[in-house]
Amino acid sequence: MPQTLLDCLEARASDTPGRPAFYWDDLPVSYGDLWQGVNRFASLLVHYGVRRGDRIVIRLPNGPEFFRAFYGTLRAGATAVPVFPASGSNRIAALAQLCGARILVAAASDPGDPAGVRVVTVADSETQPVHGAFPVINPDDTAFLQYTSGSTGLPKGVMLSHRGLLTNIGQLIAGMAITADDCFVSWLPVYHDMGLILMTMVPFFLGARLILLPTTLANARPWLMAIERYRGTLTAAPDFAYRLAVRYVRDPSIYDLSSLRVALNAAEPVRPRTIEEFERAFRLTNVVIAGYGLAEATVGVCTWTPGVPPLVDARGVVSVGRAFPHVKIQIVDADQPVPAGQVGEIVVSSPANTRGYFSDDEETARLFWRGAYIRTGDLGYLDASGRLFITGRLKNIIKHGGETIFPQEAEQIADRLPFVRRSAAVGIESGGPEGEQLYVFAEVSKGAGSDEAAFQESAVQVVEAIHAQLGLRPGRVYLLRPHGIPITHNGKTQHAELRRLYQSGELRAGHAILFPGY
Amino acid sequence: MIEIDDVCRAVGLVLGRRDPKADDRLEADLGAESIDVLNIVVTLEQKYGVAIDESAMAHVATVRDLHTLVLNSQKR
Repeated sequence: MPQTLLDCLEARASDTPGRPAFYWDDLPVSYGDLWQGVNRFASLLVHYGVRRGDRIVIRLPNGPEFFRAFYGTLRAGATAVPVFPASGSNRIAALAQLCGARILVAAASDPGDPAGVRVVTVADSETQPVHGAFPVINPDDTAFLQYTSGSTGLPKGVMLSHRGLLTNIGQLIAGMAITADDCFVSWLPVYHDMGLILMTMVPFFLGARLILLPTTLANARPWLMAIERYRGTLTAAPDFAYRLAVRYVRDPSIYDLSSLRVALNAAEPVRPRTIEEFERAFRLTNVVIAGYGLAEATVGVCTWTPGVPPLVDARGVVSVGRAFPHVKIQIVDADQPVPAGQVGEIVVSSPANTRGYFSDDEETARLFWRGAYIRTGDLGYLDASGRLFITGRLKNIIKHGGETIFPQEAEQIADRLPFVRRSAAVGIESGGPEGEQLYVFAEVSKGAGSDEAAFQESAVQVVEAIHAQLGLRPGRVYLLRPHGIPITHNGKTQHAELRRLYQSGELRAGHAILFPGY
Repeated sequence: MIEIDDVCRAVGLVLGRRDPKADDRLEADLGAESIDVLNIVVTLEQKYGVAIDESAMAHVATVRDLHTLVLNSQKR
């Protein structure tokens, strides 16, 4: 059994060097080439003085370079910190500072050069002579930090060890009955847990085929075409991608997805209707399965069993299945476990659980319940046979296209704009195909102009600023009159009340909304 | 009559772009992602009180195509 992620790759490179580790752009990248690239990149890092445990920020999109940088970092004994490549340079600089990284791996064309950080490209390592000896890696070393949105507006770095990752890889394999004969098709971001762990580490571990696609899927066609062409058996995506495929593929009958065994639907609330419509449109039966997980448990906690019809409860919630092997799920209310059928906070105990957040003892202490369990912040219940249903969330977080955002992150960005008095970000689910979206409400000061053109400009600036920093665009930006955002007596934003006022139409009826008129 | 400039402004607002032109392509020129395209459609439906035929979205590339789609949706 491999003890570290590198053991897997090294064994594949020595046993089957010519075998493709993955296909990118329809071209195979062999384990032998990958391993050589990894060693070159590791040598470059050693040459730059990188030591065991150092953090290396990796800002690369899907593609072969990412894996050279990621595993090269691990090979040099360092900890990888993959980040959303579209993040703004302020955010990258802030992350680098939070984790104390002095090296940023970026694409050659990357213009960003945050102060105090050396920018390295994978191309820089191409002529690098391979260093003989690399540090010995301990299975409990932190392989990478998965940064997640934080309630204080600062992201938190979930520490994931080699041992935890290999444990979760085993759990995912068991839970979804994955074998070396599976063919993975993925466009999920490799810089994020589900895309990285389930969709690339699992196939590397098993030596299964992997067809990797770019994340820039403006429509579902390349994804569906790749499944058909490579006879893909396993894919994964958030609910919105399946909705998109159903809605915007004009003629689903031209795609033959009959090879699919598992299409995991996870990372945002799963709509039973999506499963039904996708399977009907593409003539599949019991292939789309709902799953649940979180970075603090490495990634996967449970999934529905492939091949079994989905289970939907009376409220229309689809079950995400039973806990993976060695995972224990409990439901807690007022700090006490509650019986089956009762809703409470979901807590999870697993050998793949994180030790905590990097250099953040306060948040780490808050994470655990009775020592062994992590608090997920999600609400749900277990039925009498231990099947989990997710009903909501405790934390005030927004799920936007598979990404988790704390309102505070968006608010801090909007609040920095000179014309914004106060802003509030909430998740709005309009019932449309876009799913829950980040909506930003910004009270604007009087001096900000009062004609349509000035409002348009202000609202564009809000979108621009959020996109530049978070790499995503809000579903809607509303400019409000001063005092349009409901607050408590202590001046705290009442997010739930704002959502209610907006959805009931009271916000508009009360003339709080200045712009736009829809 | 729904003016194309009006559609340009609505698209600009979703994408955080100042002056999208009628012939700008949503994805290639304006950098829209799949989720942004969904938001644009929902925005236009709300703004103009129309129901856009989703299957027609497969043929939308530019802002002008969107404008045509909104006009056609009005007729139905």
